[in-house]
Amino acid sequence: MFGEYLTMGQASIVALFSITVVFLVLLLISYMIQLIAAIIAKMQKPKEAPAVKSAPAAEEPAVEEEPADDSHLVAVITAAVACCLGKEPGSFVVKSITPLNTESDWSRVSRTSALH
Amino acid sequence: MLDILLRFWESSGFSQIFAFDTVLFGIPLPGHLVMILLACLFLYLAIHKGFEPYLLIPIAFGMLLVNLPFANLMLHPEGGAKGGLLYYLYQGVDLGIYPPLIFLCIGAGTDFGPLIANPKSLLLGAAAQLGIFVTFFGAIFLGFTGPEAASIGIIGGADGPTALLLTSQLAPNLLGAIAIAAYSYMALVPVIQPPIMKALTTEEERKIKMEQLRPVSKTEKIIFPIVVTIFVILLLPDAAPLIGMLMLGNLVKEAGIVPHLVDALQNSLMYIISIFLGMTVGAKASAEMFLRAETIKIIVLGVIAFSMGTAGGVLLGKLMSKLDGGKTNPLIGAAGVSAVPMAARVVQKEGQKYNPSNFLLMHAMGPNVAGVIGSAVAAGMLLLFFK
Repeated sequence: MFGEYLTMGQASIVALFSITVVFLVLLLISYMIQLIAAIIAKMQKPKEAPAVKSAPAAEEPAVEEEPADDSHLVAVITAAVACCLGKEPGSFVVKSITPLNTESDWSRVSRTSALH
Repeated sequence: MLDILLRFWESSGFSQIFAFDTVLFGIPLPGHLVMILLACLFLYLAIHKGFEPYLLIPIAFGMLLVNLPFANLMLHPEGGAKGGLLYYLYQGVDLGIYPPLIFLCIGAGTDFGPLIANPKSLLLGAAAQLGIFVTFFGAIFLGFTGPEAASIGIIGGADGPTALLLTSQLAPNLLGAIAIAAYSYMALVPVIQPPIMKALTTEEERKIKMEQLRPVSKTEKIIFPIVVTIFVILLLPDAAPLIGMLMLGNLVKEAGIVPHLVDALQNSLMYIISIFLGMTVGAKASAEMFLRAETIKIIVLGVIAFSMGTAGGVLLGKLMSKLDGGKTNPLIGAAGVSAVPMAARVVQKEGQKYNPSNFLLMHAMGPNVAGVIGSAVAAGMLLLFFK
């Protein structure tokens, strides 16, 4: 479009035009993202109620509500469950976490030794 | 007998290595020897200091190989004679094949989630491309041609494959110098960025805690690469190789039904291409091409490019922070220079320095991946002007 060597004027045109296009392109992409999000939200709204129900609960049986100060533990367990299921942590809801004390001391000792 | 010995000596590289055959600033230098020492220095930096070792080791070794006299690894095929090994491998750079393939692999390893959750971060990715154009301007001023200045400017995009693609198309003679400048500065991001980030922001701004990002649905993540591909390539066909491959890689990842492809892209293909790309780019740094005054100018312009890019991102971050009533931490703007994920990690580290309970990493990943798209678009623009 230009000769091999550019004058400073030509260089400014190239620089200004290019940075404007970069901004416009990325601005338009950001609008598109918002549009897509809005459309998806609209489409999912009627389905939302069953969606919550169908979200797989945690593997552990639900017995007891978690107190707020255990949020760190909940995060760790959620991450571990997500890892085991191969799903995103946001794709399911952990409703409750309860310690299970049904195993005997013998099996716990054998499991601990197997870990080490 | 003496004749045989003499001939053997003359055919060995040792006879040439000490020849003062390169002139830099009017001083004759043993070019091959200087380049070999330089290659060893880069190998040291890569292996011992851990400067981008996955790329700098092949680059430095390619540099070493091409500067060994009579090895002729970059020899062009002429008549019936075959070319050198690196000449053939270099065709992947010359024809613009390797850099888009690297983008394919990068796409498969990129999560656009933080970007989709906070679309404003795209603007920070755009602002950080300022460095490209300021440096382009500076390079013109220093007497480089248009295509050369464009290739030097793109160092400011802080995106290796983009810089290599653009330079291989516009100014292949500068490829060695630009590759080394780009990758060295990318490794130096943790050194270059923090002082700029500190100088341009106030302590209160650096302490700003940002709201948690909303969760992004799988559908959004799948639609995003498709929509971006259609829109950007329709608007700017020259950006097609980079954006197309980046988004294909990302779609493969987000689709979630082809884990083997994702694994192949993220690991095997990525490293295979890195070796070929690094080695052949390094092989462009022969003594006669590298030991020139231009190289020093490129190194200086490169650091300006990086700094201006960082400044552009941080300044727009400041503006956003002012406009949204202090919800945005301007530091995340610095991550707008691509250098994924190094720049985002720098932001996280700096943010935590001023407010230990602050976690900016995910917020910085938005501008960071936006920077990749931004520099690919900028490269498309420069190709449009100078190809």
